[in-house]
Amino acid sequence: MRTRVLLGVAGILLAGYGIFRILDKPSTSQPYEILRWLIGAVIVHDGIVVPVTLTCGAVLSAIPAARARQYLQGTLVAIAILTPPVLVEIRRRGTVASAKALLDQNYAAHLAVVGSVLAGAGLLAYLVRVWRDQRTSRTNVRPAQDHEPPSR
Amino acid sequence: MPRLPADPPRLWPRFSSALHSAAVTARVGRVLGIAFGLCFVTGLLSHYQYEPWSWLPVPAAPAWGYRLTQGIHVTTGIASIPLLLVKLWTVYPQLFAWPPVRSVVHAAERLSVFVLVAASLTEVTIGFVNVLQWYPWHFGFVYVHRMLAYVVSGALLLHIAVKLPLIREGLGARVTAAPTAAPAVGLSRRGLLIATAAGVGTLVVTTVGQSLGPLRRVALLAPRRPTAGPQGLAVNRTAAEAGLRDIAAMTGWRMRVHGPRPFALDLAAFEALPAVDRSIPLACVEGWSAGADWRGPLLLDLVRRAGGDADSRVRVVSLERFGSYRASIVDGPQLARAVLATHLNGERLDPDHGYPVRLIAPDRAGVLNTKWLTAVEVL
Repeated sequence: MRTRVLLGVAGILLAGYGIFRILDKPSTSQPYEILRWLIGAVIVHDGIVVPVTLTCGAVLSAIPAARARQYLQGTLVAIAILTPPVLVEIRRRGTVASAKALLDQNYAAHLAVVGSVLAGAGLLAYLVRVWRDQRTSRTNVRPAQDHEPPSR
Repeated sequence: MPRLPADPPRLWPRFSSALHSAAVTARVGRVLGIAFGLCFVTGLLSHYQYEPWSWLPVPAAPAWGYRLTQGIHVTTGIASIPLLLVKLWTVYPQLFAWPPVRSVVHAAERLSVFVLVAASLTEVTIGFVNVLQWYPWHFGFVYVHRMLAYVVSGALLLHIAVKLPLIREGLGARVTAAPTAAPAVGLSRRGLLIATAAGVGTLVVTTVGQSLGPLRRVALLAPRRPTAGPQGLAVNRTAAEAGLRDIAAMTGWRMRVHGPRPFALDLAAFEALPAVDRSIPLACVEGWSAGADWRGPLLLDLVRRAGGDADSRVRVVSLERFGSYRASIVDGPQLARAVLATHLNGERLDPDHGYPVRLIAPDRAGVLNTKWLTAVEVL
């Protein structure tokens, strides 16, 4: 309990310091604009990003082949979570002087390459799983489950 | 105040996926917490470069010190983006917990979670966008990024304090245990953790090459290519941006050295000074870095000639007329090792690299290695 109290007090003091300093220098920090960013970030994330993700998950769940679907979902998760920063790079590509060597790569093509590598790895993992399951079924042993059976 | 019904409304969102579990959340959260911690500490070290205490000057060794800490800062910051997305996804159902508020304490806890989520999302977003030199806001980035880091870190500590029993339970639970879930209906929890590790790992491997030379070839998604600029080194601020587009054609340049025995040198006299060759990496606050070979006289030699010594506090001043970094202070261990470079990688400095003379010192933030120098002041 003492650990929790210490952590909590330290957290409140640290966050309070940051908030105080933001409010203490409004000409630099523009508190109202920061507030708009904070609220906007939550709205975009909770109101758009996650619902879209959940919808995609629901659509994928319609795929009847459960084993293949697991690997497809895993591959898509790996690709999807690294994509947001790359989308910004694609959007801003070529906006700065060439001497900076900044944002001067073909990020869309590179994302396709990286996505393909991840997809290849996912496919390979799926094929290995199929092979293992076949071997297991030949020895009359039930294939390994990802989840334990429901308790009720 | 009307009492809410015990059960949520019929259309209230419900979540059945076994992936929204404390076991997954705790594991992803642990890695994210470490990443945030590294970011916070290395961020403070970076700010110390700009505002050191007078009694504790920035060290000059190891020469790659800032290259390491700022590389870690930006790399862990980038890795935090997908980690944060996964972490928040796993706890998304908590947003629709019923009843939304049970007590004043519960309301305060939910408010602190909102602060943590909002500040974290904003912090990683503006941090990454800054690396791209894009500023779609009016606030001062450096100040706000720093103060929001305190807010994020504080809110995170508070969150850990509140959730510690659940965190311990989640870390202690087996990932495969899913007592209320249907068996094998989709991506497993272990699968989600593996996919997260694959996505985060791939992002790190394909971006860290901007800080880590051996991985430069696979830096497909890195914002910078540190060795692709003029003379094999990227540039943070060009001569044109500094208002010095015609610096290479400028005549009458002089280096004025102010001190107890002031003097001035024209370019020919400056280049006739005894010069040293030094290999000093250039490390930018935006996380990219690269090794480089510099040639020029030691700053300390000029300081001594003007009547100063190794304990002096020195200000170098650029030809730039505006900008936050048109001058910088050199003192302590860095003064002894600082070079006033006229050459980079065997060639005369390119205008974008600070022609005719720039400062370069080891373990020093790139932007503090002032370019287009015109004066040295022994304070």
